[in-house]
Amino acid sequence: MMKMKPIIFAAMALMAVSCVYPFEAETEDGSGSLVIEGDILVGEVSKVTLGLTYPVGGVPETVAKGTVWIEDDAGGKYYADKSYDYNQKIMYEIDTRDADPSRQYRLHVDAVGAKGGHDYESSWQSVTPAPEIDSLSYLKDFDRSRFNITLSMHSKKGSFFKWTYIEDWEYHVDYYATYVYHPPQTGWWGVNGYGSIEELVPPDNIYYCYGHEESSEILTFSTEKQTDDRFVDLEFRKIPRDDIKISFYYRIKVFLEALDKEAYTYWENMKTNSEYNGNLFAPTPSEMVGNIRCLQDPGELVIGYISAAQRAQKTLFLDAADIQFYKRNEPYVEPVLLESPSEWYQYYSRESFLPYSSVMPHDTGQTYWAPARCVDCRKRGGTLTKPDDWPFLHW
Amino acid sequence: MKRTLLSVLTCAFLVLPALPSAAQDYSERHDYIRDAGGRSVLYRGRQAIRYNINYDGTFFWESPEFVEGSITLDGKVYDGVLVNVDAFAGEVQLMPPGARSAIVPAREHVDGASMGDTKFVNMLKKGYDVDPGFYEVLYEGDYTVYRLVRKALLSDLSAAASTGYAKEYFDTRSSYFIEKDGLLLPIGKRKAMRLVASPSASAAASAMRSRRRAVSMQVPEPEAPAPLWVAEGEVPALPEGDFKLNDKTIYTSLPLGFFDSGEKKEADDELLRLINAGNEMVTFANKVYDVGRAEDARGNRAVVSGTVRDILSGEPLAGVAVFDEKSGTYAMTDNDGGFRVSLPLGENVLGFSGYSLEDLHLNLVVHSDGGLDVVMKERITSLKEAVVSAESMVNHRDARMGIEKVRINTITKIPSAFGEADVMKAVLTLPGVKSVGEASSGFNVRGGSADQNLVLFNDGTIYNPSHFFGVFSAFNTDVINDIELYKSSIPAEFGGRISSVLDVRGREGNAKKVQGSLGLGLLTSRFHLEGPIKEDKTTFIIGGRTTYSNWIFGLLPENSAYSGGRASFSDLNASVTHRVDDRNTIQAYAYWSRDSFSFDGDTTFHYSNLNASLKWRRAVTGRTGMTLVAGYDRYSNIVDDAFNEVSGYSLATGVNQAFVKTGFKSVFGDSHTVSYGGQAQLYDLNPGHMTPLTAASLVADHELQRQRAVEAALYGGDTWKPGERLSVDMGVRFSGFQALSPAKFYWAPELRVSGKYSFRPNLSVKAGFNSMAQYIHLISNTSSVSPMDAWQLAGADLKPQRGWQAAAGIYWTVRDNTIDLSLESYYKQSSHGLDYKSGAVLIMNDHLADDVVETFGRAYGVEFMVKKALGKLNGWMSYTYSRSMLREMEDRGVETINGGAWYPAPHDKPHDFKLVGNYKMTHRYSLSVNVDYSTGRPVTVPVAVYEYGGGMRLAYSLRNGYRIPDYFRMDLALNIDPGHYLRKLTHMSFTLGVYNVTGRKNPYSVYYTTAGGAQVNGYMISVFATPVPYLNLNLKFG
Repeated sequence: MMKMKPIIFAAMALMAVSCVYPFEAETEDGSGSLVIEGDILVGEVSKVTLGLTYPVGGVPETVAKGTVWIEDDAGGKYYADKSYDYNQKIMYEIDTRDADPSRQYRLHVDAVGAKGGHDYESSWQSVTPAPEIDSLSYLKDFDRSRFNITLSMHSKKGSFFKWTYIEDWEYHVDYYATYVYHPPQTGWWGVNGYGSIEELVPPDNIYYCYGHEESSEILTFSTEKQTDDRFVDLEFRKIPRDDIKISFYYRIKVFLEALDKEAYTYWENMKTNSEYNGNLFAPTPSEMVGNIRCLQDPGELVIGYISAAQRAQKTLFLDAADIQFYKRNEPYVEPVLLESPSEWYQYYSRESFLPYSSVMPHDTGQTYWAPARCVDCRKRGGTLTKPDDWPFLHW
Repeated sequence: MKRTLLSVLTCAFLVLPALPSAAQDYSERHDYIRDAGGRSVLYRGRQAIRYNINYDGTFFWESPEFVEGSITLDGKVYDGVLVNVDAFAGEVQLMPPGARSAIVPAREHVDGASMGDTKFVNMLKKGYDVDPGFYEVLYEGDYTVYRLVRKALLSDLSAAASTGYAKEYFDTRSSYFIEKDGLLLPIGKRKAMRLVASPSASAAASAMRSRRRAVSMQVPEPEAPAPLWVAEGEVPALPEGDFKLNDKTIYTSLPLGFFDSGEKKEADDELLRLINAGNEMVTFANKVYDVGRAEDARGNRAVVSGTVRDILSGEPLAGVAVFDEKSGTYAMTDNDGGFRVSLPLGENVLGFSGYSLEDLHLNLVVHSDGGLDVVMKERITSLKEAVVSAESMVNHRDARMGIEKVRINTITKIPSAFGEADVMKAVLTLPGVKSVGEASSGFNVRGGSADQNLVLFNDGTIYNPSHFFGVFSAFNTDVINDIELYKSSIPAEFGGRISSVLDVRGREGNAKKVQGSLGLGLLTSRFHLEGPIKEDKTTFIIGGRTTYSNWIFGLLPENSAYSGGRASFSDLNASVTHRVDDRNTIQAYAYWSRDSFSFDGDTTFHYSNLNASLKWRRAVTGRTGMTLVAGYDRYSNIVDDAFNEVSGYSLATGVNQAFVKTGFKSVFGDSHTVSYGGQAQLYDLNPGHMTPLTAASLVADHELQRQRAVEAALYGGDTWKPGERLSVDMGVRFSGFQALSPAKFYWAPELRVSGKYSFRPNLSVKAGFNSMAQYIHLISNTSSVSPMDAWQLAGADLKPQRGWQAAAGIYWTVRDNTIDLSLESYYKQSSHGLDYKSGAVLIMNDHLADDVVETFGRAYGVEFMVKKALGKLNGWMSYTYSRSMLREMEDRGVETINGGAWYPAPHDKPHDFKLVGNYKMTHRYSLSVNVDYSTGRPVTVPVAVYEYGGGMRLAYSLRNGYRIPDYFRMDLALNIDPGHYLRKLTHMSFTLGVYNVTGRKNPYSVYYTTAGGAQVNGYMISVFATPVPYLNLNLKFG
């Protein structure tokens, strides 16, 4: 609630004459500020990420590695035991599975940052208790041709909530390939031969693939103005009806935590800033100070807000056969039968076709070819690697 | 006489040494009259018109030289006077000894005149119903031969090819007549010459044979002629029907008893004929009027008060300067056309001049305090701008500064998007007035924020003056008379806002006949109807507008976010005015407007203004006038959000206020005009009330504490004019504010002082100081005022806003008083204005004061303006350099906005150039242009990128640290007014225009997206990125 949609558009939308043009402004470089993200998750492994802001249109610089720990109000310390580098950022894992939810916590990051040797500290945070997720469900919106994931929850304590989700899905292509084509060597001299076709033996296949996506939107909700702290069937994830995600198996995991008002305001502001659409009637972007301070230079801008929370988690697993909603938008393409290996390379390079079957088993003389998108599932963005906890096996 | 452009330019300088003789002019003339024992009828009449254009030739009979001769007034011959004949107007002019400007005696009293040996006869007076004018006698004997010279002002366009401008010249047309035996017959020139050269009775008789074309003499009925002069103490006999002279003199100014209903039609026709002739002053300028009775005289001065009305519609005329031509004492008519001016007993010449009105000069004999109602008529364009205007001199009479007045006929000529004439858009063309962007609500005056403007519509406060997100304003131009914007000197009677007052004044209905209009635009249509309920006693005017804009949404692509959008507005005005008697007028007035819009069906916004008031005006005595207004204003705003069934809500905010205002205006002594009064208003403000939209909604019914308060003020002011050069306007206002729950009291003394000193009649300097207090805030975190923004009263948590402004300016009127040059500069400070904290929640916040910060404001600037109010080419051009900065009052450490430094206000646009021009090509066609250039407004833009919460986020610069590109726009419009088919029942006018002619892609705002998660893209929105043509039709009937 209070998801007051900004009054979009004002007049500009009304007038067919209004237009949007690319715009670039010469701005000062506001990069190099330390960005610290990661809540203190009691009962889970907390993940804290360090990064740097980088110039608009630029590339991120690698953040220096520092010492990271979580401290409780009794003096107990939880040090990061693992760290991973990715995308010029560093992620630290801190085991807070056995942390006491009745204590207050704060995060310490030492000797990092652009200026080097600076120490940072978040404010003390009480652990917000986990809300109850009542249901994670879906709604088929035939009118708008989209599939909505809905969340219902309630809480005995707290009126501000934030959640994230992880989506995994499994899909397959039209043609189960029993062959794989190795194209010939090419060079300045031309093409050397026709290439070769090799048999693909199960469980190896390029038919089943897996997709993975994590929420990138900031999802928050406030029940402050409501009679009680719950929400029912809140639509937070909208999937187009023709999205391959819901074509076979789809799973969404939701992690919900309660925030205090200050943290909620911080996240809301960040959301407003990223959603600003230039409308004069929308709240103007404005930087907000988080709860992390540099000990050496209290005026230094540090981005991030560290909360402490117990999270609620719920998973929804859907089988397209049960939902009966996915509607394929792409036409089926008729395969072609290639009578001679001399045609292979031409179909491969010009039409982006791949072989999947043959007239006679184990005989590659006459082979059936189809567009690569219909043969190799990896061409649709997924990987062949199954998530660890995926409940199905194929071969 | 051949004037060149160069000599006209030097004219401005030549005027200066000539000034002493202007004073001489008056004194000698008055000496003459005094020497004549007050009984001379000579040299009484209006001043001769001066044609302030470049022309060749002369409008005089032969030469502009005055020749010694004689004049016969009502049978009495006066010898040894300087005479000339104006062949353009058909009038005799007399030059009083030692004077610079001539006098035009009333034609109906002039039998004839002679210039040297040449004799002229007033043919109308003689009894012939022919073209009015003076006919030269060529031969007198058995028969008489006349020559009539008519001058017409023509343009020579061929000269334009070489010189660049059209040459105006007076063309001479002569016609000849023979008179014999009471018959007058036009004859050819040759025949006339023969008859003159060799007089022959038989030739004359043969010439007279074709009697068909002859005009016979009508012997005038013996009736008492209108008295030319009145000896002191004598009350002359009254001629029937025409006008009467007594304590309350009503000057009907029409020869045929225009106001007598029985002859109205003929009177209309007569008037229209005169207007069309364009060269006849339809006023009683040429009579002498008595005011008061000698036995009531007290002291040596008296106050003359009355009302100035429009001759055709009977509507009161506001803003007309009424001045004593001898001493320079002046007064301006108020909104109801009323004026009050102190004059010495005895003979006076009282001048009246107003925008687009013909100047009027009345000869008065003042005996005691008394009334004088005056009618004036609009200046007719067909007169080719033969203009004598003291109006532009108003700048040099009024001590107040920073006052901009725009009349509705100017507003309707300013091109605007979609062709809808718009009050707010007109306001934005004035120097010192800015808005955040086109299609935005609210306006900013001299660096003040949008909530610091008091917008009054017939005394009611309009809290949201825009429709349709600011594309249209809340005022229907059909029912508006004029607008006045006070940017600097705010009269003590106004208060409650610290930046400016925009006073929008509606019209009264036509007192004579029922009229109306219809307007059709692309998005809106409007109508109005007005007329008498009881002629000259009770009038009404109603007007309404509505949109049919939803079609535009239908044009939007099906999948665009706006395809489900809807937007509409309507408004309605109604007013009834009743003149109880000469002293009392009562007016009832109501206004209602409604806006409703939604996007994508989820969220619907509604807002509505409602005003109702009752006003009583009373002339308490001749010296004192009173107004009493009581009214009720309401602004309400509702947002319905159906985003999700269980969280659907309806949020209402609003302001209700009941007010009573009373004001008195009195003339004291000979140089003081004192105004004083009191005001009180009761606020009942709803800062937010949220209710569940449906039964299924979980939203709690919650209402923020209603804010109730009383604001009261007492004020007093004095306009003191110790001499012609010096004028001082002093005012003080004590405002008090009592918040009722929780109780909190604030008060403030407010000072309003301004002074003027004229070095010369056309060169003045002024300075002023104003302090103001404001007890209401508009809470906003958007660039422009949004319909979501709610008003908040000062109270225990929020302090009232305070501000002061000091300003100084120099005013110079050049080129025969046609061009006003002005340079004004100002410095302003304010405190306790509100800005929002980062992440502030402004809606339904029980502790709003925690989310806003108080700011100091500082603004300064220089405004240079050139204005030509009249003429074929008229308009104004201004350049402004100004800054408007804010700074947080409290130091909140790292969180202080921009570290506690000054930052630009959202409307801070330092350079600003504006041009509004109108060129009348003919009576019917005029071309308007509007140019607007300004520095881009400040914005907050991203200066860095980072990843957070799974996506790319933007780190923004300091608040308002950057600017969008500069703004430039030019609009053109062609206005086609109805032809002068006066008998037609309906008149159609068109406006054909193009908004943003150059098609410049003006930035409206910029924003950045992180679409795709990999790259930040900046975008600029341009609202009107192409030329936008429009056509507007207006139909007038009645």
